[in-house]
Amino acid sequence: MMALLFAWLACTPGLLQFHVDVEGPGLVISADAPLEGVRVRTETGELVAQHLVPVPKETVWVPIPWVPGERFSVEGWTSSQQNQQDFWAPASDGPVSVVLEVPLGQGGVPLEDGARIEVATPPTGRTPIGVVVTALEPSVVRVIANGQVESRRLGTVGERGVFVLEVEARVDLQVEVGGWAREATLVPVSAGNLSQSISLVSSVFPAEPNGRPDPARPQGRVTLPSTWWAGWIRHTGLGLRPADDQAPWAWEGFVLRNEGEAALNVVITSEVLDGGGEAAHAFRPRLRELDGGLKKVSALVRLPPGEDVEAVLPLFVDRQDAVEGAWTRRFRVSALGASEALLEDAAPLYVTRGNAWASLGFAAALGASLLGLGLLVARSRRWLAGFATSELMTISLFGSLCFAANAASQLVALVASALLGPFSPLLTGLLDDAFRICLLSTLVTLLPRPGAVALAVLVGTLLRGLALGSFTPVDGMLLGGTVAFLEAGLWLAGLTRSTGWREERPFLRWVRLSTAFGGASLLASATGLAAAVVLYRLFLAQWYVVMILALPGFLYVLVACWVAVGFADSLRAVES
Amino acid sequence: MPSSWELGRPAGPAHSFLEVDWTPGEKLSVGPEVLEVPLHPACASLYSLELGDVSRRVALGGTAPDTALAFSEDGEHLAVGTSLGDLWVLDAWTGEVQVRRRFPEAVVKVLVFSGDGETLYMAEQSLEALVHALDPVTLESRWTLALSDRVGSTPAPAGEDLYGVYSLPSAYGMEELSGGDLVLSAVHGWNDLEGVRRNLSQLLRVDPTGKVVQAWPPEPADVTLMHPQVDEAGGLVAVPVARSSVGPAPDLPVPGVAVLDLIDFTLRSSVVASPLAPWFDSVFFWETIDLDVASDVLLLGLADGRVQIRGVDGHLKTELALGVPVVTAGVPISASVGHSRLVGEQVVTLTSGTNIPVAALSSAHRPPAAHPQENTLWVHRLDGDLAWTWRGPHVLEGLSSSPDRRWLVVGAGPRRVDHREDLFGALVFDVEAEGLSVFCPTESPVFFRHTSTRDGRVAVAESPFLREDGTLGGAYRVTVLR
Repeated sequence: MMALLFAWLACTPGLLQFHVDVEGPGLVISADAPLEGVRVRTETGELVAQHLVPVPKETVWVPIPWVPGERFSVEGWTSSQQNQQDFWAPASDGPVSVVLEVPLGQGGVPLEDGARIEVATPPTGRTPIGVVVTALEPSVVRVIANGQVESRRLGTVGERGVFVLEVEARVDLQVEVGGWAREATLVPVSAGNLSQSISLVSSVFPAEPNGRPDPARPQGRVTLPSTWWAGWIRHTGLGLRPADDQAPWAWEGFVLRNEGEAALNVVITSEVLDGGGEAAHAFRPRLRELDGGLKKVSALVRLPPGEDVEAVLPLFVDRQDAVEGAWTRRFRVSALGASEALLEDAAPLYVTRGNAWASLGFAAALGASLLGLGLLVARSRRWLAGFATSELMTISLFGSLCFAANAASQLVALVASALLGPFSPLLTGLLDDAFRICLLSTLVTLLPRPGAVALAVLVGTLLRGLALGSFTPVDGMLLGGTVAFLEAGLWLAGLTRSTGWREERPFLRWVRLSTAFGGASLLASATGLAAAVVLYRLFLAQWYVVMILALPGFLYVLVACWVAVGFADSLRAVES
Repeated sequence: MPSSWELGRPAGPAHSFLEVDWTPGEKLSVGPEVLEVPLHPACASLYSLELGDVSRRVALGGTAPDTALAFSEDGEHLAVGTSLGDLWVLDAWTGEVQVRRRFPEAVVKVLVFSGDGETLYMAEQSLEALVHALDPVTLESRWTLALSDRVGSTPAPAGEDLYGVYSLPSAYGMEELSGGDLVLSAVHGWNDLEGVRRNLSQLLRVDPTGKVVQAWPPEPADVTLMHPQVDEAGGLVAVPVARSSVGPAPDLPVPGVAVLDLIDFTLRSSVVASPLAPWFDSVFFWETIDLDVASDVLLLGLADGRVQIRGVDGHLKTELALGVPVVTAGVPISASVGHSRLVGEQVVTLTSGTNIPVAALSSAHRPPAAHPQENTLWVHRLDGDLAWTWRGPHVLEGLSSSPDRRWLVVGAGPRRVDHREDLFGALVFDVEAEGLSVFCPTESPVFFRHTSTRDGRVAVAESPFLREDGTLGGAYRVTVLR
């Protein structure tokens, strides 16, 4: 029997635990399980309200115009539990409740009679204070600040009156309703080191709406289509639809930290300034004109103490107005109610437009690639048939050496990239470009016929693909371009049209080789950079492009050709 | 003895509606049952209709989908039009679907039942911007009128463009006159291929056969004329004139209100609204214009927080500073007037959230209130005296009144400062009792367009919402409450 009793007790649903409080003109009931309904009665048992929720929730708000000190009996239930408890609405000692927001917007604290309240004010400027009076019975409220009276009638229970005071000196404050009154003194104190408690942990632009860096765009830069491209699209009518000028171009992500002891509600503001320090028209917000022509974007954030807070702001760009160049992105944090900024930060913002040279270079790279691949497809059979087996062995040997040089340069590049970053091509170019050109110059000296260099390049590329797994469309494109430029350069310099040049003086041979390989290397490097800019969305500085073209792209080639002249002489001597 | 269920008429799948007189707190006998009447009325959800999947739009951060709702004059039918192009006509008591039609590539923008219930007018936002006169029984079109013939069209927006549909032309506001004519506003705001913002709009009066019998301005103008307000008894229509395009403005009261004769659309008076200096240099208004010729009131609510009560001739009688800016470090933070209208002899105004958005990604880092007057319902007398006001923990969305103007309905919509889910629904206010009558909770946030009947049924459109953890809650549906 006892066992059955215990089993029955164990199966009995526990009592629902819930908490009741007032919230605005109603009661809010928070339970430890999703509530299906709530029933509220007066202390005499009359049913005040019954509230059924469409979907069970752990928190339920019930509209009941309570009066201070009123007692309710609240019954709540879930699908398996229920409970009932008494609740007393908070008592009030007057016809109104008074809350002070010091400063306005920073949340309120109840006004205690005779309180002395310190108001942080900046050295210059005033701090707005909110006196929020809520009627607990119809009242005529008088707010007296240093003798100046503002009166307002609050005709219904729950009606709020907000009186805003601008504090720059001591204020003797009185709130009166009939014979009821409360007094306080507002004393300005220095804002002190409030600004030192707010810090900007990080700033990201462009960011995604979640505040993370936008991986598809370069940091600190607004990139727009080139003017000629936009104009071409406009004139040809090929554009599908216009850009939405009311949508943000990107977002700015910020992480702010409040190292103070109290939570702070702040306004963060971002604007883009031109060279003269004026807000730039091209970056004005475009959302429904609600900015009022302020040309800045603002938003609100609450900074709890000791926390990092992520915030985002949209950045708008007028695609026609924004000109290329350097601008300044300024960011400010101001406490709500304060008249001065707590924190300011600025970062350069660069606007760049699509580069016509990159577009033309990419088109040239595509054209050269098609030409080179076409050449390989159309002529490879004839080339293979035209060379003796020993010559093909020589071509394969040089192709393999080119691959070895390339593989070694890739290994070196792993370390060089870590140490030298974007300058690593200066080192790897010595191994790859210079050594490769040296080998190819020697080869063309030994076998001065069309196709020898192309086949060697093809062998090197195939070996690299097989050994290193590099078979991408871009590799195919670069192979075609290299073949086209090299074969064209060699033919134009007369290196594959006759063999007589091999008997010229070493300097003249070097000039011919440098003209052919230097020109081909320069074009291949330039179109390769253009392809990288377009396909990998790289943004390269002009000086960097010039450096790459001048050194690994050309100067290294000249040196390699000079080495190749002597090396080829030695090999020819061995051959003969 | 029949039960109370059997005595009433079916109202949705789980309710029976029986109309009886009652007083708060009494014990009421209904059939064999004795009911305890609460001191404050409760609200019941009669039925819901799922409207489709808009989760992608919500997940991408889009706003609530446009949904048009209209009860027939006798309250027997409810028309529901969605942003997905669906149009339903329901039995307004039971929720049973009577007929449905899909309008491909269109948003159902406005729905109006004719006074005799024989025609359902529908305006779509689409490439052609058609206005349909539909048979409410079959939803077959009796006639259509292409507004794009007047205000132009634009290419179809990209599928991923959440707001692209708003660049298409449509009717913004449509009202039937007692003679059967329609007054509607054809509006088109778009970016041309050069990215330049352009507007083209025209106010039209259309006869019952679909023929345009009057237009203002005579040729479509480079402005937006959204949500005109008709006072048929007074013989006037108030047309908000705004503009988002660039370049020189036409010779119209921009930004402001034109008051036209309802018969021949001649200009009777006009108002140009001045920006609130020194903080703003432009003016914006939404559904905040109203007109009552008998009371000599032209109402104008502004996004900078002002409400202007003017005479019909445009002279300023009084101005209410409900949400004017609080300035923080040079940034004006105002509470915009999102909706205002005349209800009887009173001015009803809704101050929405502030014009400054929140930037914090986490709801824990969003300030509870930016402006002391935001999210508040205000009721003033025509002389500007405050009659009563209400503010609760809800985010207030949209303002509508019952046909007899006894009840005000305010939606409780999506929240930006926290993720509470118990504060969605419809707030019903009793104009005579000057306060909240009942709160009808819903599972999801309520769109700002809602409608109600004389007998107290309220139709709201719910839409899904993003929870703090990124999951979707709620559904896109219409719910009828009472």
